[in-house]
Amino acid sequence: MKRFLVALVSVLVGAGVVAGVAFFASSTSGEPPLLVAEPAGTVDTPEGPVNAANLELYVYPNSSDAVPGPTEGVNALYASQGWPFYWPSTTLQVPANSLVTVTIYQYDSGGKVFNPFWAKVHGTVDGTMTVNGKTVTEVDPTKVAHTFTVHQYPESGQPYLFVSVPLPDLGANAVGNADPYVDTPKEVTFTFRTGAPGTYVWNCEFPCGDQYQEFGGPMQQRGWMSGTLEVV
Amino acid sequence: MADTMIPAEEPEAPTNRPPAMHRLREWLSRRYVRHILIITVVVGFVLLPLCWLMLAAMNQSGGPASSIMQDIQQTIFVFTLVSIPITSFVFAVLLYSLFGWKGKSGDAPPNNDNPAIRTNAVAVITWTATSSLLAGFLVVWGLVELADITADSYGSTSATGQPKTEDALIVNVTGQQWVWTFEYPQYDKVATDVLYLPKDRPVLFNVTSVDVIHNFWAVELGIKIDANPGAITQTGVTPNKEGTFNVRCAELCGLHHAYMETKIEVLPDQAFTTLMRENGGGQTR
Repeated sequence: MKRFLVALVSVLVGAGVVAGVAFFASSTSGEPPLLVAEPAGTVDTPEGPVNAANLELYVYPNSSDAVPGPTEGVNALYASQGWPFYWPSTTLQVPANSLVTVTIYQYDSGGKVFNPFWAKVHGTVDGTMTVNGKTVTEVDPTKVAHTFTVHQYPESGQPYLFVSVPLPDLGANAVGNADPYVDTPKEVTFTFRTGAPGTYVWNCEFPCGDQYQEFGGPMQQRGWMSGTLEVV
Repeated sequence: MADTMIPAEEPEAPTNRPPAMHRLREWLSRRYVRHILIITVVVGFVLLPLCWLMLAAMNQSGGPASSIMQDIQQTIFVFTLVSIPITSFVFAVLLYSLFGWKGKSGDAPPNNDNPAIRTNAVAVITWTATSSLLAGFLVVWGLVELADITADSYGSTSATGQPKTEDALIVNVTGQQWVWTFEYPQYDKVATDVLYLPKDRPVLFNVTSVDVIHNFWAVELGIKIDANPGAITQTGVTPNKEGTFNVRCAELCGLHHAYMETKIEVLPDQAFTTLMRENGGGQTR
């Protein structure tokens, strides 16, 4: 009987430790809430009518009273770090087999991008985007603030999807302390086409974080400059 | 000078030891030996399909797509094949020890006064010689294949870093959290996120990183090399099969490391040239 009790207690303690670790990991994962693209009717294309959807994102240089930044789980610990972030979420959901138009309001300064590939537009309809209403295929590689880059997720059966657009630098003087944020952000709009359902990741390719080569901190944390894109 | 007394060798004591073959037959007739040998053969046949299953698993994505990968797969096949007899014998002894000599409830504890196990010269010589032969074979095979693969994968001369052959395609590979980009300097620096390669044409890769250490792994082509910030590493390959293959990062590099992959499209040479031209790259080779 004593041996049975010892075994039972050992199993219960082990299960408790595992459950505790799982609860801690879950509560601190920092996965932001889901942001679903707004349906926008259908669009006529040469291949026929296609569903459309709109997504609106903001890029801020740091947390402020007006926009406190992500606070889910472990992200709350980083609120005072002065990290740039995408808002209102980095967990995005868009419809499958649709034209998705993304509008990004960019409030941050920037600089020279290490790899000029990221100063060009890739994977959008016609390979273009608009910056404050002007259609472009690339921006000055020395004046890039961030990028929005969607790429492949290693799951078999889902179509290849690669979209990358540069977000132009607002200029350090224009940004100021960014609290409250300036009234004249760079407004970037682009459209890409989704295929069959799949799950992808996206992140910023401009070194806007801290640590080595500025690829740490917000670049490595969902809720800030990295996220997921689910095509459903 | 005193005579040195050399002790006379003692005559060998008469022995009743039977000849070696007789002892071998006697040993083989023992029940546990027969059982272990039978288990060895059975386990061996069970494991044998592993050789082909491993290759089938590796080729699920369409490879091998180069002679380098073919050499690597051949080596894996041979090494697995050679290791099966040893693995089978070890498992057979293990299984028989666990179940053949398992004590039953109520058995008396083992007698500590049993005779000690003595060295068996035949057994020691047999396993030492067999292991040495197998290990020697694997070393020689491995060195020959390594030299072969190394010669194939270095598309440049070590002194200049330039391609060995005039028609070689140069691709500058850049790893960056968490995307690969490819630049074709011979085609007006066309840049892509998918690695396009012509079939049957040598390719020289200049690999680097702009942030942390990555590892450029062209899976079905059988090449893998570190991408280091501030340095260029080189590797090369000649794709010999058209199709879609995979590039992955093989160095833990941060949040989305597991998603740092892209496609390789191996095309006929003419289709590759057309593709480069469509992307604004005139052929300059």
